[in-house]
Order: sequence, then structure tokens, then C-alpha cells
Amino acid sequence: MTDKEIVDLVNKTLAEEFELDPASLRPEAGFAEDLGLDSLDTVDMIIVLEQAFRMKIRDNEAIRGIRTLGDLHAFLIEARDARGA
Amino acid sequence: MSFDVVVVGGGVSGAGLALVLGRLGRRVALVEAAGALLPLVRGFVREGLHFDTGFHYTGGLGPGGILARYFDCLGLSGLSPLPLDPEGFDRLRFLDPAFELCLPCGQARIRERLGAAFPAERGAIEAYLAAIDRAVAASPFLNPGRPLPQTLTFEASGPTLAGFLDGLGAGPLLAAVLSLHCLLHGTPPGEILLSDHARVVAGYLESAHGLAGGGAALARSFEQALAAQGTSLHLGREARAIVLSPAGAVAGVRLAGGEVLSAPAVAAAIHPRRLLGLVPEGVFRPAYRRRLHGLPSTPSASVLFGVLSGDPGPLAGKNLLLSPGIDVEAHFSPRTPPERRALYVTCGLEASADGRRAIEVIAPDYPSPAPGEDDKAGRLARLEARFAAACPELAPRVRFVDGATPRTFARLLNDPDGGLYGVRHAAEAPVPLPLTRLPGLFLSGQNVLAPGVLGAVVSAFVTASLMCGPEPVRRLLEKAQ
Repeated sequence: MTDKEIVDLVNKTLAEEFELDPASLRPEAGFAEDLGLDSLDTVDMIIVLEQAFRMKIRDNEAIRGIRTLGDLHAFLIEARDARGA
Repeated sequence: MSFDVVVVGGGVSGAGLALVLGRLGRRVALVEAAGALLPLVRGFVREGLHFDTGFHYTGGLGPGGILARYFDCLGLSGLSPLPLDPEGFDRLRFLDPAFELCLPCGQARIRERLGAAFPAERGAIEAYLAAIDRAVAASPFLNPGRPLPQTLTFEASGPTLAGFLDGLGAGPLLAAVLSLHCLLHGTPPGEILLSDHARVVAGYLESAHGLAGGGAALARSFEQALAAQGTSLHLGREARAIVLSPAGAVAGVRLAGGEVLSAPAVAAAIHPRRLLGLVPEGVFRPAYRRRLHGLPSTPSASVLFGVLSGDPGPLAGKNLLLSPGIDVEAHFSPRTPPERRALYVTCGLEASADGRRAIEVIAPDYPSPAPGEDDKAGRLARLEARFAAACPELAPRVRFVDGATPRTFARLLNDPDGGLYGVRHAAEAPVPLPLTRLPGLFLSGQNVLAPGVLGAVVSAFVTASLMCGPEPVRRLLEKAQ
């Protein structure tokens, strides 16, 4: 997957599964303050992303540092690189 | 009518939550669709004998046992635990390869018994028992009086039971012996986390008890405690919708017939799938709705209820847990042919004055995929044939008087799958948390925290602590330390 395909799949998945306005999905958008996704949504988010990307991410410690949508994009791009390596 | 909390679902967890909230001074309404509380657990009477449908035996009911302490904190009284044989409460029997082992209570005895049967694998046995101890020690729920976690988050991590046993290098027969008790929580060894498995089986490994009077005695004890507390009971009333205020907050529950029980908080102790039908569209996000819809079920069962005349012989104080092969995972799949699934035979600990006892033959079973089809006669005939082969010394003295199929359990559990332990507690498909994104709506029950009677009771305390704050609940649990 290219970086852009990853970004597009993340945004499409989040827009559908969490009923988010695609226009709000800017890289600098914070999950809590801008997208209204709280800790209760975290479990669902991990599950839908694991399904969309067909890989396990829940045990990855780096997931705890994710604050913005851009953080999530970068996390998944790095996860792809780590898997390819 | 107006309350502080409406609890929907009068199973062990809903009734338990109503008791905890009442003890914390809340005015509580409890709604149950069936005509009586604890519909799965209470069982029934036939020919003067009590038969159980949901509660057969449990761990943690010995003196100082975890379940006994939680029952005490609920204010339940009048319960008389009856011990199974501590030298062997479960006769684990495999047919291919032929192997039998009576599992005793207490770590020292278990270590000795397993070690004698698997002398080359003492290290793996030791590591397994140590892992169970560690999981119990780490659990705030199995150490009541410790502070309860303020927020519950995604904790699904660590190895599965199968992965852990594999890592120990346990041979296939020992792995099957140590996995067979997955039947006590309904999630197969390849899916249950070792830590979740450990927290269920730990109590059984310490002690195994039934109750005098069976599940009916437990139901009666809950009824008496709720009556003493003045809980408003709404039995035979189905909840139809969770009512929201114009601002979108929880405002109460609408019952069939239109009556509304008003309250600023609602706790749903029902199957999560059923909850989705009570909440207006748009409240939950698609990801959450899909997750709840897709939660896989634990097995349902078919059961034969019989009357045994005379001595229970090999079933005196013991259950028979029969596994045709050593593939424990197969017991959890509807694709496994019925004759290859586990068989569980249990005999009443109490005899009638004329020496008769209740005997039950239970096997994992699944609803027919075709609606309307049940084949009750066929399912029960297969069970009877398997019982006759497994217990030839008892079969001539047993007269079967009734039977249940997955359809029966679908009715008792108010869920079409009729999964005895609700949803699977699978590492890959996390169960919902007790908090929801709708302020004032909480979840409770074996589908939330942990399965079985203990899971349901602990879940009641956890949900109460999220509703009322951890400190009052911790004080309530203090006497259970």
C-alpha cells in the first residue's frame, strides 16, 4: 500500500464507521477535541482498523501516543514498513 | 413512576445490580421479561425433584470462597453450599486416546494428580498453575476490597490459553485436559485469553459446590433480598425502548403496553444485541453497533432431565465430563458432528426420601439454522444413546422425564442463539465495556465483564461503581476481604 492509500483507507473507514464528516478529517484534527471520539470509541477504532488493514495493532505500544489523525496515519505507515521489513 | 435507576434484565447480574444499588440508597426498578427473576438459573420441579437449567455447580462457594464473599456482600442469605467430592469433582474422560482423570480440589492435590498422570510434563503443569495464580492475584475483581479501576479500557492482551499451553510445550493430551474446562465459560482455548480462563477456573480448582435446592434456592434468595430492600419489580414486562430527554440524555424505559419508568440512569443487564433494539438509531456509532451485532455466541445446549433410582455410583459427588477426542476446540463449533462433541453428566447431590435423584445429560448444541426447525426428538434421542454408552451401569435405572434444546435456552436467555454463557470472551472480539457513549446508560452482566454466575455478580459491582463512584462500592466490598 502506498502512503496515500493508507491515508485514504483510514479516512474512509473512520468516516463510515463513526459517521464523521469527511471534511473534518484533516491530519491536524485531534481525536478527542475535533472529532469527538473518546476513550470509549478507542476499542471500536482499533477493531475496525485491524479489519480494514488485516493486521493486529492493539498490542503495539506506540498506539498510546496517538492524539491526532495525522498521528494515526503515521502510525499505520510505520506499521506497514515494519511488517514489510 | 420515577426512580433513580431502572435495571433492565432480571438475571443474576440485573438482580445483583438492583441489590447493590439498593444498598447504596438508590430507588431501583427492576424489569424482567419473564414471569419470574433469574429465569435461566431457577430450573424447574418435576416428579418432586428439582432440575437445574443454568446452575449446576460452581467454584468459590467454600468457606472464604470468592463467590460466597460476593453473595454475602449482596445480602443474600439462606444458601447452603453442598460440596462435591474434593478428591475428584470432575471425572474427565477421553475416548480416543482412552484416558481418564478425576480432577480434585486444591492446588496441591491437582499438582499431584496431574503430575502422576503426566510425569514428564510436571514443569508445564507447574507453569500452568502458577499462571492461574498470577491472573487471580492481578485481578481487582477477585480481590474484593481493593480499589476498583476507575476506567475500564481495552485490556485484551496476552496469550490465549491454547497459545500459552503451546508455548509451554504441553503435549496434546495434557493440553486437552487443561483446556476441557473451557466448557465452564463457553469460549474455546484458541480464543480465550489465558488470564480470562484463569479467572474462571481458579475458583473451581479451589473448591466445587452445588447448592441445596439448586438454582431455585439461589433465585429465592435473590427474591427475598430484593423484597426486603423494597425494589420495585416489574415481572413479565418486556422493555421496549430506552426513553431519551429532548436534550438526548437517558430519561427512562418504556415497557410493552406503553408504561414509562422514569429515571436518569438505566442499566441494561441483557444481551448486548437486544440492547441495540432498545436504543434509538443514531445514538451508537455504526462501528459499535456492528461490533455488538457481530459478537460470537458461546455454545447453547441440549439437555435430558431424568430420574435416577438408587445409588449414583460413579456420579456420587462427581460430574462426568466426556470428550470423544482431544480436540477441545471442536466442542465449540456447530460444524462438529453431535457425537464428537463433549458430554456432561451430572447427578443431584440431594436424594428424595425414596432415594431418587435428578440426573442431567448435557451436550453443547446449536440452534438449527433453518427457522422453525428444531428436531427436539432427534437431539434428545442422540443424547440418550450417548448417555447409555457412557454410563451403562446407570442407564437401566434412569427414566428421562423431559428435555431442553437450544430453543429452550433461547427463550430462557432471551437471545436467539441461546448461548449459555452469553457472548464469547474472545481475544479477537472484545466484549463491550460497562460504559456507553449515551450518558446515563450502563451495561452489566456476563456479556460485559466475565461469564457465569461469578462474572455476572462481579459485573454488578463494577457497573455500580461506575454509576455511584468507586468508594461506596469499595466500602460495601470491604467486608468481603
